[in-house]
Amino acid sequence: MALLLAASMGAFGVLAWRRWRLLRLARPEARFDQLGERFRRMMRMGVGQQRMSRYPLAGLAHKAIFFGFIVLLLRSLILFARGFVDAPGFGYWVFDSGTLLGNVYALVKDVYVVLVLAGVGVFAYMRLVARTRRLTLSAEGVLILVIIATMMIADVVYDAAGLALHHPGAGFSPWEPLGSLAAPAFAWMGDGAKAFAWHAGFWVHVSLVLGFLNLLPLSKHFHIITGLPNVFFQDLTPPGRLRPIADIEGKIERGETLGLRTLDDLTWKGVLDLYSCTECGRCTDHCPAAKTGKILSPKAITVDLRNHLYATGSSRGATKAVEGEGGGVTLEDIVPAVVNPEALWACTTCRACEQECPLNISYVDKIVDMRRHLVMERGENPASLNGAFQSMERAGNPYAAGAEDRLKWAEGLEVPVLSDLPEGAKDRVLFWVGCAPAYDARARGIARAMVKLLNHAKVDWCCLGAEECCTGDAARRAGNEFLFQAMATGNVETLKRYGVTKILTVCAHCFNSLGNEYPDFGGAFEVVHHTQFLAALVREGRLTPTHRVETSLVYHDACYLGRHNDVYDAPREVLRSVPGVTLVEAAASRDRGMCCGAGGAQMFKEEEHGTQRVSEARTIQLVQTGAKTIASACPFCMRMLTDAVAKQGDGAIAQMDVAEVLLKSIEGEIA
Amino acid sequence: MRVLVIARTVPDSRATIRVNASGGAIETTGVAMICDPFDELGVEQGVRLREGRPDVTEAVVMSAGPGPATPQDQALRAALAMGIDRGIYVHGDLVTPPARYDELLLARVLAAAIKAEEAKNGEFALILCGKAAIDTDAGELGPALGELLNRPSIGAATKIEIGADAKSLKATRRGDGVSEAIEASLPAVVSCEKGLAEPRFASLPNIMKAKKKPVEMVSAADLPGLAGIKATTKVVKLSPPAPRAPCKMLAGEPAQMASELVRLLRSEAKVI
Amino acid sequence: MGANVLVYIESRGGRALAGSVQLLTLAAQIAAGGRVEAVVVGPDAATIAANVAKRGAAAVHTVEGEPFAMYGALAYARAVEQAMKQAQASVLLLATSEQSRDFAPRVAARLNATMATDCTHVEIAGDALRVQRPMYARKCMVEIEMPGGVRVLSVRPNTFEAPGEGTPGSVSPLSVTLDAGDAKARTLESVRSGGQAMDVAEADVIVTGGQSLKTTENFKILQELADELDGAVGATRAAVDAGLQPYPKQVGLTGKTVTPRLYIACGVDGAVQHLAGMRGSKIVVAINTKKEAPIFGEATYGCVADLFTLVPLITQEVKKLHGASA
Ligand SMILES: Cc1cc2nc3c(=O)[nH]c(=O)nc-3n(C[C@H](O)[C@H](O)[C@H](O)COP(=O)(O)OP(=O)(O)OC[C@H]3O[C@@H](n4cnc5c(N)ncnc54)[C@H](O)[C@@H]3O)c2cc1C
Ligand code: SF4
Ligand code: SF4
Repeated sequence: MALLLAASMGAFGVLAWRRWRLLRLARPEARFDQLGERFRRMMRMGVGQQRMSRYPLAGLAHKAIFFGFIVLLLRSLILFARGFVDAPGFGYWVFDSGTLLGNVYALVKDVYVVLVLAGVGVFAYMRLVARTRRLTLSAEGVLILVIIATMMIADVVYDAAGLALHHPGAGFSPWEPLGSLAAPAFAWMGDGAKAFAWHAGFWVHVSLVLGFLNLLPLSKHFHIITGLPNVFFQDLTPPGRLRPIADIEGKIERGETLGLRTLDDLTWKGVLDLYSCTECGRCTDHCPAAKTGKILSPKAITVDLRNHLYATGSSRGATKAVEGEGGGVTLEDIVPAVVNPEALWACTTCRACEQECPLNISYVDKIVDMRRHLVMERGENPASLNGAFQSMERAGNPYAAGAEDRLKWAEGLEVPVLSDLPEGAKDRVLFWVGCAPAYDARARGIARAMVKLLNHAKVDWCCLGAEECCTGDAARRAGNEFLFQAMATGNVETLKRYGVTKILTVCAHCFNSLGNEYPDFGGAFEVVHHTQFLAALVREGRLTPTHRVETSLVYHDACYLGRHNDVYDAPREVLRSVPGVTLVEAAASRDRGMCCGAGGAQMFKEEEHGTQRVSEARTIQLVQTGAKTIASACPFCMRMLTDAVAKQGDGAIAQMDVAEVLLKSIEGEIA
Repeated sequence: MRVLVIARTVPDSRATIRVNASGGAIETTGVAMICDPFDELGVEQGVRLREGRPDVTEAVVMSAGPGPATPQDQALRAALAMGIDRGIYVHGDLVTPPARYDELLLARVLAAAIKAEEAKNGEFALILCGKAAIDTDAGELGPALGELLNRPSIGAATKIEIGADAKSLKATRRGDGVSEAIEASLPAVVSCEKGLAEPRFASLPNIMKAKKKPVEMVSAADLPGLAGIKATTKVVKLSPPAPRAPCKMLAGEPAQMASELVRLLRSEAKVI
Repeated sequence: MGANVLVYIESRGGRALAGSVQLLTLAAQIAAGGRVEAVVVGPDAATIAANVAKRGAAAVHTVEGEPFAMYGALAYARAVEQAMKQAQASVLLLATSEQSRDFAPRVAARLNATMATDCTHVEIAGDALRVQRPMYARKCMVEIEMPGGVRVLSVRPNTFEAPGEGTPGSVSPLSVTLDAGDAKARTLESVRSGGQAMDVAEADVIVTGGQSLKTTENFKILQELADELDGAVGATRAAVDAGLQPYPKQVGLTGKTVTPRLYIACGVDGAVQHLAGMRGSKIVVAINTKKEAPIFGEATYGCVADLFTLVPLITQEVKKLHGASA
């Protein structure tokens, strides 16, 4: 026993040490703040298994096994002890057989043995019979299921044979239902055979536990160890915020990498992410790019990176070095050796994957970091992005339009422009129009509706006019951090010059960028999205929708409002306040809403090869609700959806912004 | 074999053009300046030759403008970032608006600068420039340089191929509704037309490196052979762009519309 | 002004380019007592010269022969330079064209002349000429004074009316001697460009269609107009998406950026992503059934009409025009 224990613990120690070293060799990252909040989230998502329930059946099965493992951990420890203490009922005194606690535990344990077996059954069914697509059929996955099942059966054998041996003839015991039910099966044996079965049950269970332990660091089941820490150390900053790169020019001067080029550029949390992936495929299952035939699969990115990590390690003294296969490793560039650039460029940064992942593995930061390296160091980005990059840099908007045309959207409306207001932004809300509402003929309707609503509600507002410049969101998400920072710094400077404190936007991307990212550049403003603002005005009675707008309406959640900023209810509240509107929900909505295809700079590039446009797939989902109108709350979504609707043929379904719907109800028909 | 690229700094084509107080030149403060997009074609072509042919030993860029106090000439920066080895900046009133608007004068100054450079470091087998700069819209530079340097010139080239012996080149140029194949001996001057070589976007590290590449300052007034030279044309005035007229909607039956449209395109817009 | 003026008559497909014949009108104004002469170079020089001589040129020089069979900058520059000397002219007028842009600056540099390209207005002010020409991608006009000395002007076609016919001037061949330098380049062949293969990014005239064309077949009516204008066909992304045209034809933010002199948008809505690729166009014509279509906001001329009816009519009109200027 001691030998077995020592050998397997030793082997586990070596493996774990290697994994630990890789973690320690990775880049530093501060994740030790807000311990209380971290603990709460770990309890909720980790221990509470909150996200598992998003897939109800698998969720239940996993809960059974998860809690079963916690319960059975004690059982395993007891069995190890029994290997040393020659007392068949030993249970660290407190749990000794026959004591009250011992009995209760024995019962609970038996219940969980059944539950775990049921869970294993479900998983085996999913993998082998139903062949759930998100799962990769691997020998490893099946082996693990077999091990778990065998462990459980061995445990029952141990109990039953033990009962038959030590208490022959004893009947059914409510404390040990499984053992006592199975004991008669051994009754016919001689004592020698009973003892053999008893020992066999013990050894099989014990050695499988140890074997399992050693398998963990080698397999996707490492998450049993790293999962809770990974949840604990999750990013607590707003999910819509990307981490800035400091001192870009200096880094280039010093020849340092920008973004994620090789494994060496991963932080320890990045490495922990890789360790933790269970290959459940929930991320890819919800990825809009994967759904529409692009070669992107977030799960594959993690798994491929992990395999690459295990194969090469870190050049700062890697596993190979530990194994004595010589020192310095030159690491390959992740793109294209491990990740196909086309996969990177297919991502819409919608965060569906992150929302789904039960282990809080993050993707958008890694994908953008890889793009950062490609764009800023290698100058490799899809050619179709060049126009937008150049225009943002030179003209301050992505549409190659002139700054002098910035106010064209407002023709015929009275617009207070800050440069004409001697007192600056004092007491006024700044209406940040955004490039799409300023220049996109269709999106201009959103800005116009918004201004009319502001005037109806007698809100004191102003805007920047020609001084407004693109927030740079698309540049940032396309990996052009340098350009983004230049734009952000410029905008913060302008906003501060006028003493702006409160900003209103009609674009989900401006909203996210200004609210979550500008604070990193010295611009801490109160930023509200127009749906929030309008919901408040309606609630306060400053806007009263009166005219009936007879339509059934489906609301499309913008990723940068919903998953990135948790704004799900405000737009719905506004729509519900409109008499005549019947609000229906798409099957995929709220935090499971599918991306329209525009985020992550997709709005300014050609889509990667696939079987369908993301926007079309989403539009079809929305049309299938039978609604007469699609409501959106972001000009990018609007463009994606209108284009896709136009392709479906004329008049398939109407498409309006939430503000336009509200205005229609306030003014009656809009001219 | 050495290659020279002429690159001019011009206002971004998206920029709003305003005329300065004197009426003789445009306002440049607050206007984004860029490397001329046609010259960029030449830069790209030059860099490709430099990268692709071991016998191309140096690619030099020459720009001209006010000077030498200007912080950094955009055309030079762009060309160096794209991969040109070094720069020559010709400065002085002779190459600054309004004199700059006389493109033949610019050609004479640059020809003198090229001769001076060639006297020091040897001949340029190929001189590349844009088919017309988007500031003067003249397109006189390339052919005039050819004449002044006594070399063949090929205008509006959409393709060039240097012979393996580095003694001749084959080019395709765009004529009026035709495409012409031309063979010329080197050294030669080529003006580049869209389609020649899609200019690359310089990566950030290359932009940073470009700041360290050598740039030689040459005062136009000090160039040999230019004594007493001055602009022969006089800029009377520059009129600001007319505010864009609203769309002229044509009325009538389709047949009337068609003939009216064609008439307008011919005699009002003069584009057909 | 009393100067001798030489007009370069450009031959295009065996005919005189209308824009260069029109310059005989200007030449007469500038000459004011001086002589107006013309030079025609190329294989059809004699026939063209006979026509031109009736329109106010006192003498027309023709330059023919093997070195001039196809256009080449060096040989043509030499021919025109010698014609200038022959005519003892101090003003050279040419129509703006790819050809004159290619060789006229050489002539000007050789004659130590002053030059103005693509003039849209020419005025005589004593001994000087005052011209207007576009600058800054045609956004501004500049007024330039060209004092005495030798002057070379290229003038935008259709700035002047062609003169009527009168007593014919003389036509005589001019023998031009080429020197060794003139042999440093030669034209190997000249082929008609355009057609389906023409790249939109290079074209100077573009006829673009949207998804409202519905079939690839229908794009033929656009191609016919484009061919007539030596232009290329372009497409919106929606048209490309629908498989009507290949991606390289896409104009817009994520397609090609184009800056043609004439852009004809047929059944194109004018989404900002489309405008981003064609804003640099000089003259924009929009043809759309919907008068609120945003494309009209970007257009110089607008026609609210069905493209299927209007485009073929325009093609006809252009054909008529081209026939007339023969
Ligand atoms: C990321 C992204 C990138 C994009 N990039 C580009 C790009 O590079 N280039 C581009 O063009 N678009 C681009 N778009 C698409 C753009 O948003 C529009 O969808 C597209 O330009 C519309 O094309 P269209 O005008 O052909 O079609 P529609 O919008 O359907 O317009 C058809 C027009 O034709 C008119 N019409 C119909 N029948 C007739 C008739 N018989 N005669 C005359 N007129 C008629 C209609 O009135 C209407 O105005 C992009 C979109 C996205 C989301
Ligand atoms: S962010 Fe969205 S598009 Fe990108 S990998 Fe995740 S699910 Fe796919
Ligand atoms: S990243 Fe998360 S959701 Fe995706 S396969 Fe791994 S564990 Fe599952």
